[in-house]
Amino acid sequence: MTILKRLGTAALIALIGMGINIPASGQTREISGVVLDETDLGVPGAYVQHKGGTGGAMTDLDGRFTIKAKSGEVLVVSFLGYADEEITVTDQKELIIKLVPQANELEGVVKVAYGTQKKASVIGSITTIDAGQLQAPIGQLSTGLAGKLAGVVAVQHTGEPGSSAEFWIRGVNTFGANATPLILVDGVERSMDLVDVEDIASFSILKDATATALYGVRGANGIVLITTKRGAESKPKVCVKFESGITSPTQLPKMASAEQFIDYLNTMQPGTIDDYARRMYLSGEDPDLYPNVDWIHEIFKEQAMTTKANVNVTGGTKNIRYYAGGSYYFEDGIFNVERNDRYNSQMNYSRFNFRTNVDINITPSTTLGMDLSTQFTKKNQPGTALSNIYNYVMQITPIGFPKVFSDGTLSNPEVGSNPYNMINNMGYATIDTQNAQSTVALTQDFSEIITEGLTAKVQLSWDARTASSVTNGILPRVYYKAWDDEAKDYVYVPQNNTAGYINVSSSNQSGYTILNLEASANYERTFGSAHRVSAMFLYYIRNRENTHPGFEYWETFPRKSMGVAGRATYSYLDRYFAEFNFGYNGSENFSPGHRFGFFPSAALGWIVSNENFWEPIKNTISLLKFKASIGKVGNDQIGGGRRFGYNTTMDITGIGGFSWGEKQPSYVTGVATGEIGNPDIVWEEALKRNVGVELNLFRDHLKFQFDYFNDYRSGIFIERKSLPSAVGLRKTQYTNIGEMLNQGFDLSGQFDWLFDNGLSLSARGNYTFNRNRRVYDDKPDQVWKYQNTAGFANNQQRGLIAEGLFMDQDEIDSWHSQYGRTLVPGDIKYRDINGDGIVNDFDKVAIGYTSIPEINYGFGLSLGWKGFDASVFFSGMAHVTRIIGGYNLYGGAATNVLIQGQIFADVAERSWSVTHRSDAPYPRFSVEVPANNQIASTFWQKDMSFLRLKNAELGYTLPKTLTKKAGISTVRVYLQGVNLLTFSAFKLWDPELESAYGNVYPLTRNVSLGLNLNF
Amino acid sequence: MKKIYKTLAVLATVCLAAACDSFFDINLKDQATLEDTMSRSSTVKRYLAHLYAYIPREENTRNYEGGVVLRSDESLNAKSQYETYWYKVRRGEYGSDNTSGESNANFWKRYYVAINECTTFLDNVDMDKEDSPELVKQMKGEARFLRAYYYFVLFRHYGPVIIWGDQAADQKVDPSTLDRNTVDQNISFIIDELDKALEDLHTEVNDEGLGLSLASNKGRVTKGAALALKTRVLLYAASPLYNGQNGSGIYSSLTNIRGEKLFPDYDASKWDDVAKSALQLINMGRYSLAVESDPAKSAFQNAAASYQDTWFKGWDTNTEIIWGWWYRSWGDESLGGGCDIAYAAPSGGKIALAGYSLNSPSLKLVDAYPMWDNGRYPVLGYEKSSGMPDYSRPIVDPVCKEAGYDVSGWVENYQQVIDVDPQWAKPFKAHATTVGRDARYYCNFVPNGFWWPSSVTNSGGPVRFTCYNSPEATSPYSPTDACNRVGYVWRRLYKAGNPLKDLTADYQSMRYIYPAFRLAEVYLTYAEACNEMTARNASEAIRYIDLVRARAGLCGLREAYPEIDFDNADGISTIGEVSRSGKEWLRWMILEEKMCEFAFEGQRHYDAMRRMLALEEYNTENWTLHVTADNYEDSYTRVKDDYIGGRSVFTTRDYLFPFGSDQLAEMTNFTRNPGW
Repeated sequence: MTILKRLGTAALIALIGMGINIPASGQTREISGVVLDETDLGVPGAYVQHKGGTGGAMTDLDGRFTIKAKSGEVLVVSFLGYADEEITVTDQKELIIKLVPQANELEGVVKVAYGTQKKASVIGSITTIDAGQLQAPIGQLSTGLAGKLAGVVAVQHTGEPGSSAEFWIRGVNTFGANATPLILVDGVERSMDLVDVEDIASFSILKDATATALYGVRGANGIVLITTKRGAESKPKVCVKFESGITSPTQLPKMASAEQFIDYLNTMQPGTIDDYARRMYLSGEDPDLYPNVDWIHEIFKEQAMTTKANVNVTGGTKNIRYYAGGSYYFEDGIFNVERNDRYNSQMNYSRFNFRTNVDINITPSTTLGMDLSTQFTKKNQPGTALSNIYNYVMQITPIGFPKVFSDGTLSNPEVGSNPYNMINNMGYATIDTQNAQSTVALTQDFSEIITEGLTAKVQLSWDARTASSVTNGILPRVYYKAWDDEAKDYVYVPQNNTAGYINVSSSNQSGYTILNLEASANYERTFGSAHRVSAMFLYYIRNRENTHPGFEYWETFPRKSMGVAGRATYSYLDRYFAEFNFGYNGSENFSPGHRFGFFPSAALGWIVSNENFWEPIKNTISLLKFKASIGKVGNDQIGGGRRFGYNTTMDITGIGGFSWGEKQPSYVTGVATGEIGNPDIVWEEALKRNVGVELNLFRDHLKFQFDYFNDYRSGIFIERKSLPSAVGLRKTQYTNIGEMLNQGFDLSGQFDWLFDNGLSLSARGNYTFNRNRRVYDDKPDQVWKYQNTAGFANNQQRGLIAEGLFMDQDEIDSWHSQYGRTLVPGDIKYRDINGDGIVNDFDKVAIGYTSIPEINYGFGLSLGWKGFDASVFFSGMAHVTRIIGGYNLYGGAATNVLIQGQIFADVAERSWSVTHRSDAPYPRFSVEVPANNQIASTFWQKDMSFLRLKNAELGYTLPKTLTKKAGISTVRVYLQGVNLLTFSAFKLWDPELESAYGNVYPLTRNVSLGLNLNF
Repeated sequence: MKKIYKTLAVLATVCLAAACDSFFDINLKDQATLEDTMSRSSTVKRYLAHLYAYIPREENTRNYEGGVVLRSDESLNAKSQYETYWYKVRRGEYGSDNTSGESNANFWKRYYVAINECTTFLDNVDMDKEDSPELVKQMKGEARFLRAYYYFVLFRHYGPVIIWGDQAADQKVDPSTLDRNTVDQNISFIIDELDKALEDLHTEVNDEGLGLSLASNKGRVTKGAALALKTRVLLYAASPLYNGQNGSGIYSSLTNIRGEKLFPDYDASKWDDVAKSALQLINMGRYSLAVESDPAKSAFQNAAASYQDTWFKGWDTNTEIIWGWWYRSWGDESLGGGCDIAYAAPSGGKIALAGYSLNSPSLKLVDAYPMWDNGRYPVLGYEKSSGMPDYSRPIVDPVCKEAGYDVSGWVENYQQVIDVDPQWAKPFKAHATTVGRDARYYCNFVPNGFWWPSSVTNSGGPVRFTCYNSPEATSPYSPTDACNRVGYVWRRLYKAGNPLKDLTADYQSMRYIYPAFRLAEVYLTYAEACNEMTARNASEAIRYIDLVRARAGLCGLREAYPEIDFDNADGISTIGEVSRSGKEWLRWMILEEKMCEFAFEGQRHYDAMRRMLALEEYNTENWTLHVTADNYEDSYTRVKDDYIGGRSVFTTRDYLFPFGSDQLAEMTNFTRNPGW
């Protein structure tokens, strides 16, 4: 519940109270009635009260109530999730009150910075999503965001249980240190992954200047506003949800089989594996000496379990309202761990969430909110570096060595490691986090004390987090088999001489405490029914302390921020809107006198459809709104690897020194010049411009929203690159000189229809496009100008342009030199861009896109009929490329091809050595990987666009006539899936993974069966 | 309405007042500042140590600055998988497009940073009141020396560079105005600075008034170091590459943006300066050649021990090292490691299998060493194939041939001498070219067939190094795995008898002082100058060459070569088919002697550069012993096709290194080196 809303209700009640202060006519009598929901079923626990008065009644299990009232009196019926309904008592004996789901009311109000606004009057660029659309069997909220909201760019880099997605609002706006949005949970800067999706009441993103300027120096990258559920006056209502499901990898890399691998080796070096050996490998007769292992499937299994349980209760009386919820989430990993009685090294993630939000009316005009939320998470994983497992599982060959010798002896190759041991025999590690957030808020309505429509609020919150990890590592004794001349047989050769006991180490502690104080005053009033004004003024102070700082002195200083913010809005006849916002705040990162910045924004709006002349077509075009905003917002997380950039320092730790000494070296650690202070450094500044149109057609059945944005970031904190290195500065100064432009549009549409036969249909879609360009990065013009980074997208991929493969020596001889290297047929052929007769690094040009997609979209459809509901949601990205590489593609190996030279099955099938086609997707095989074929080029750049069936759900709600007998108001069973299908031209691994080699934990698909009970 | 405004105004005032700057104040007083660090003795010393940290990693013979060993004609990479950037340079596969980063030999930024750190030190060290003025003066001398040294490191790599003088880093400099100073400006700046440093420096760090102990300060720069560097800089300045390019004029049209000619015309008097400077150092009388003369040992063994002393004799008693530093392990600027070359030591019955024996001596280097008995250099040059030196066809001195030097001969029952005990080093069949060479030959190499010079090895006992394509060889040939690819193992850094059982611990015992400057170099430089200077003095030259030769147990040049008239500069003398003037013969012998004496000490490459020999000598196929042969005898055939990794390429442009594309982009009007 927010101030504004409560304020509005209070004002309304007061106004109506005054307006219809009709003297009671008639007698007080007992009236009975029934409260029905949209399906005409009785609503138990609804609260019926005298408007403006006290006392009331609660409906029974059938939705019936009796109340004493007079004729002409107004009764208000309220029930959570439904709009308040008013009914005037007449002479009738039985009142029938039909409640309408509150969705409509929620839609009427939008969360904005530090408050709410009527949806119609919002002229900033804000996108809100129904909390229900975020509910999915996923570990972290962020992984469900892709494609859901216009303006969100979200990429999930790994599928490890408990991992989150990286996301940006309207793409990347800066090449400075921090491009990620500010996330506010119940008004306080907190991590999104701490929020349980079941607790969310509203989720919005603020995109343009007018929506974000209040956050001043923190708002430039956009803002995510999440509010959690609060109680309403009602009988306790309990909601229980249980989901259990199966996860499986969306795609595991398909590696060469033993047969393919042997053929590949023999193509490369004829005779490497003779016919006898080949037969032995393939027959599996002697798995110790002639192993044949499908490593991918030895290390990853096809499925694992997830479980999610949630219970929450909400309710309250007039004076105390509460929401309390608790949930448990567990996701098991897909490592193919063998059962053992020692420990569990499976990767898994579990989380306990708990939240209570309580509101107490201390006086009729004073509300005290007390919130507490805690999260405990635990991740379990093998006791060895995960990256090694992913690397080895793709490197090692099917015939290199056995997973384990047939007599149980642990195996390890002569070079490299055995990933089977890594997941089974090297111990385990756990990573724990404990989080708590507490908030106390006091809201005072000054309507009757000072003036109508004025409220004030003070809110204090304190958060804490600690994280720690414990590794119970083991180095097992491992062996390989080698021929022994004396024994005349193969014998086990131990590879190490370890004891194999558990070795415990705990590390990686991190943590923080945050104190946040906020005080605000709000004023909202309508004058003469035409002039609606509102004003808000706020002061905040924040202190974040790092409780486990590293070794840099500056990490020990708390990160503070402080500021004031204000907003004034005006609208005339709900046709013309004007809004002014400002933030005036600062950060301790800057030098005295440079710490505070003023960030203003202004916006104008016009609802054409509210003009009188629009009346004739209002049925067709029910809403047409134009809006435009401009403003300045800042970003103080400027990075540069340092804080207090105004301070000149000497470097005294980890600096190279020298050894003198006559008989033995005595080392003297160095001291060197460090950062050169720059007293003028400040935050980055974004000039944000936004124009938008909202269009609703056919009585709001069809809605569109379109925004064009242009975000010009200046003052990006970067190293001075134009200063020649001959000047000799050990560390180059950082200054606010970078500039970047990001522009694009986002578009969303929705269609809702209720057919006469009761079938409801809802379709929605959104599309976001953004393209950024480094305008100035202080890098000097390159020898060849097309190699400049300025003028191109941030992190633009670069490489040579490949022209296919050389077919024969003649073709090589007639081609220009490539790095002066000796080439053979089957090598990649490159274009000489600058025409200097040789292909070298100067011929690398901008190719393709970046690994962050320019286009993000999503669309979905929901259907409901009687008790059934079904929905599908697709999300996709496009204009995204990646340059891939690795021995799996080139062939060859870092050390030993027989052991570590695995290739993709596709490479075995389609490389030049096999097909001898100039358009083969892979070059020739060779023992030593030709340097020519490893260069970043269009040959290895792949389009990573994809479309995914992100969510699908099928549900059935049992008829209430059945369930209410059991005392349950609703029972719903559903089947829900995540990441069900992926369509992409890229086939080697899941295109969303953050990897040039495909060697990361795969993304997972989840299919869950759920049960939802409401009491 | 008024009430609201009033309330809001009050609130706003309160809030704004609260939002004050001082909330963010932090106290950074306990952080290190320049003033603070420069006023305390302890941090001044640490800053000085940091200035030393930039000293070129010359002891690393495959990467960074020491990679010139790998690039030169004295060595050959032994393991193609571990090619360093220098090997690409050797093949000619380099250019400004790929010269970014120090591992790619782009030392530009490193040394300009070093130079500016020195300038900052010089500008501020007077704040140090905790140390005596005498010590402050000495430290200034050290910083000034190092700054000059770092300019020299840039100079020998790129040719003339930008000289900042005493100017500290200028952030407001206009990059378009930056260009190189001339060779003369570079040289005179370095020489002037060294002269200034000489005034400040002491002759030894434990001199009275400094309060420093040798125990923990030996290795800091002294007068001797400044004179030695000055001598070497003057030698380079007088040499053809920087002094007229033998009349070829390849750099004569090179001018900077100020219109100054970068390379001066030939000036013979520059050789006089070299001689003067060298003599000044010699006359200091502080340094002498390391010589062992144990009466219980043979002359040959004494010669070997003397030569090994240049590396292994402790710094406390080593009189030859003018300046040097403790061997630093590669990749790690601090100390701790011994030398990676030691990885060649036997392990598991094999040699060089640990794989880090990356550099092997080239056939040219092993050919260079004189004969023990007659003191003559056996190979006078090579016949040419396709216009390039053919190492399989050496031009052998007929006198040496007569004495047994035979490219295709064998000696049965050869008893190895140095660092081995006949008890376990049993006689074997040795190739004729490996027999009867001077002591240094055996201190530097283990030829194919020879015993590894220690009975205590990781293999448990003595091992013979055999190198051909058979499982019975101790370095069996493999196209992909580690093995020796030339036929000779480099062992100079291996002190005989060192067990090398535990790499870490045994490295501790294998810590050496790497001699940056030792007296033998000054002698040979002086000799070279005497041979070249206007008032040529062959006797003086020979006197000093002979000192170096004598330490290796060799006779004097006049005794070894009675048929050559050294004193007649222009008079032609002939050995076999080779005819040269007296001056030319002496010049050739000085360089040959330097190649032998300073094997793998990084001198050969710069000598080949400054004397402009590389165009003739570097441009070759990479000849090796026939390591793919399946038996010992055949493996001594010299072949050019066994080596994997291309041939060596050298063209005129390679005399000076290209500037990196980063630098060319930074400084738009910068003058490039010709050909790049």
